[in-house]
Amino acid sequence: MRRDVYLVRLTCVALGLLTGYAFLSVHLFKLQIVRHEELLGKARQKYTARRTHRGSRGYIYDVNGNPLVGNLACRDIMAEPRRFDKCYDHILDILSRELGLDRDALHRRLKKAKEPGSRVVEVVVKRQVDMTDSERLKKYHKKKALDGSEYYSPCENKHCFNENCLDQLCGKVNLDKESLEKEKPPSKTDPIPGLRFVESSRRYHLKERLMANLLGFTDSQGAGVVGVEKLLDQSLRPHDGEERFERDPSGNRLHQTQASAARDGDNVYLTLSEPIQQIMEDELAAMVGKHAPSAAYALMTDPRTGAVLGMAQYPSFNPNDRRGISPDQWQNRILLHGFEPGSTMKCVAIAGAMDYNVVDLDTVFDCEDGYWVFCRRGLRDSGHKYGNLAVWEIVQKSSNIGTAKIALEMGQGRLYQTLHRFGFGQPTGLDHLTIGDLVLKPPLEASGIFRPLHKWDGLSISRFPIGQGILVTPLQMVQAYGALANDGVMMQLHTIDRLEVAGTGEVRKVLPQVKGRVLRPGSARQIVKAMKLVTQKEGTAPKAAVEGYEVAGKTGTAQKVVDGQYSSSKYVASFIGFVPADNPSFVLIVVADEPSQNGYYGGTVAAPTFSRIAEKTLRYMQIAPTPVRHRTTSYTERLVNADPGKNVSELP
Amino acid sequence: MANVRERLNEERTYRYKNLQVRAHAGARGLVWRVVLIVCAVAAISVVYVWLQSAGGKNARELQAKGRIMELNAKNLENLRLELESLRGGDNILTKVVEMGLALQPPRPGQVRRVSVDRANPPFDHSERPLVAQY
Repeated sequence: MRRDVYLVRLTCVALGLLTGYAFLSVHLFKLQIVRHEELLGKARQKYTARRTHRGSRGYIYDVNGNPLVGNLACRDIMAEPRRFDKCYDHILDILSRELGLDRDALHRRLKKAKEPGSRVVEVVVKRQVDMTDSERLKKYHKKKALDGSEYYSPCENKHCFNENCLDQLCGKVNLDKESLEKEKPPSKTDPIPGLRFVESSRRYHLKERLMANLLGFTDSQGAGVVGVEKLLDQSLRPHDGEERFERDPSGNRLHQTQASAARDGDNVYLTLSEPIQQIMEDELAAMVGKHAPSAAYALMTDPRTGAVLGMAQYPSFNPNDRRGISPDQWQNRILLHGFEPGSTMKCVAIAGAMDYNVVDLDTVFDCEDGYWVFCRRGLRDSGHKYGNLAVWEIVQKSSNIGTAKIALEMGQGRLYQTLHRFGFGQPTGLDHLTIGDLVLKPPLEASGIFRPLHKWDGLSISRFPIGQGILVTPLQMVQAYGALANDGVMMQLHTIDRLEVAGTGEVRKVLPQVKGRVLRPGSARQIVKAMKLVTQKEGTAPKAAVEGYEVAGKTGTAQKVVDGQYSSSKYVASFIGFVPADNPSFVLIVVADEPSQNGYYGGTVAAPTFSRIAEKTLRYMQIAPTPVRHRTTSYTERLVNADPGKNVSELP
Repeated sequence: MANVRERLNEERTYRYKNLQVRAHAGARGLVWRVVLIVCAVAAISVVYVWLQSAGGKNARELQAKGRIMELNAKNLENLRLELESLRGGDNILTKVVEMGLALQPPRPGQVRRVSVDRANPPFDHSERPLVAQY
């Protein structure tokens, strides 16, 4: 009987244990098998940390490797105001003082996160703070004042003797300063709680305004917004690296589990040269100071390669401080703003006429004593009454009537073909390049206004060749004159010289591209001969001459259209040319939009600036002066001395 | 027979004594071995813990130094950029004006190329040592 009782009890206990173990097993099964992935994920979240390593955006250099845009290391400062405790006001004072922030504005921002129950925990105090400023802020640590109150101070002494803090903290206590100063600093410093310093970087333009409109800028996320920064964003942009590691409860790293290295962005080298750009910007600023135009541009290219050597404009901006800038300042107006070219268009039209063998340099036209009626509209030669002029004189004196008559000889179709071939009415496709496997999307560029042939009226043939009724960009003009300078071969304009791939150091060079031939070489050389005369003393721009060199160029003074009519007070003054004329090192255009002081003619406003830029650039480039025997001194003098049967076109 | 064995044992006392010594030595050796192993394990554990702690400390120090190096590298890069910025033409020209240096590049014709008679060069360094003259 007793034995049975024992057996029953034993069985009950065994059953109880078995049931318990069964429950445990089921629970274990659930934990280890059913919820395995979920719980493993949670555990991993607890002990695995992830750190993102940011690569740095590629630098932008000039053609000689002078850095133009780089990255300045800085920090974003974040605050968790709930952790400020009793020192909230004191910390607010420190932050506003050290970071130059408005105290009330900062208080308004922090207040929201301080309120209990608020979902906002952390607030950005200031982004992109300089390293020195953030280090200064990091030095603040907790101290105890003599009266027992706590405060934060950057001083290393136990008690603060900073002038600002002295009254506040030690004023009430009459103590010997010297004995206090001898006190050792605290062994361990507590930084301001609730402040977090996040490493970041800021795009920094080393030369500030230099090339600002071409280089463009990035947004707060580091993506290119405009200019080269946008054009080559794909290459310049860094690729972030990530590191995963297990950590102990204190956050110390145990061992790494996974890592991918960060990759810096590629470095970009422009075709522009910093010294040339500096010369251009200085001279453009001098012109703006003297003539007070509403806008001004200067653009220089190498006619043989199409490489842009300098690109300056006014108004400009400082990309390091973009507060309050307007689109007028940051837009690259050389690409986007069109203007009526005026007389600078004549050379293109006349070159076309010579290319079609309609005229040569010695063909004579009656310039009607300065006034000619065509299609019931009068056409004047500004300020002069010319009779018979040869084609070279028409270019030299910039005769509107002579040019219009050449165009009439040429006919509408040929004139249209010529201007179209020279690229008017179409974007130049600046930087439409393929570098290795990278295809660049060309920047936004205005195409100007050049009406198709079927929309021409009777007056068009007499107005387009003198640069009226047609809108061009400085870029289009330089492209066209580049073709004249390069024996009729038009090159693709570009500002990118090479890419340096980060990591491998591989250099991808942009090779010059030929866009096409727009003139026969003979025709190009003929028009260059006439253009050389413009800068002689009988021409319209003797002020564009450069001592020791031959300059081929053309002035332009175009009336601006105001309310549908040509204004008699607003002009666009320009000069475009190349030096040395027979073996050009560069093509340069200088444009002043609405000059309001000290003249408005291209020969008065733009030509002197052209001359100064050209002179300094030639000296910088170490271009040998044109030998005296090869120079075209003065055509009238040469004509007097020339053989009676010899034509001007045969002169060198 | 038993008498013979006893007599023999009496005569060969060394065998009896030898056996006795061996039995004690075995027990004591085991204890010593155990003690040695325990000590060794304890020592290894202590050394392991000490190494781990020192390793951790070193790793933390290394991290701290790495952070300082990173910070210094960033500061250095910032300073390099600032230097480049100060080297810019605009800045130099401004400083030239401010300091009244009035530096000018040579005008055309100011610097002339001197024609050199190859047979009789004006500065023949082969015969006399090159000494800077002030």
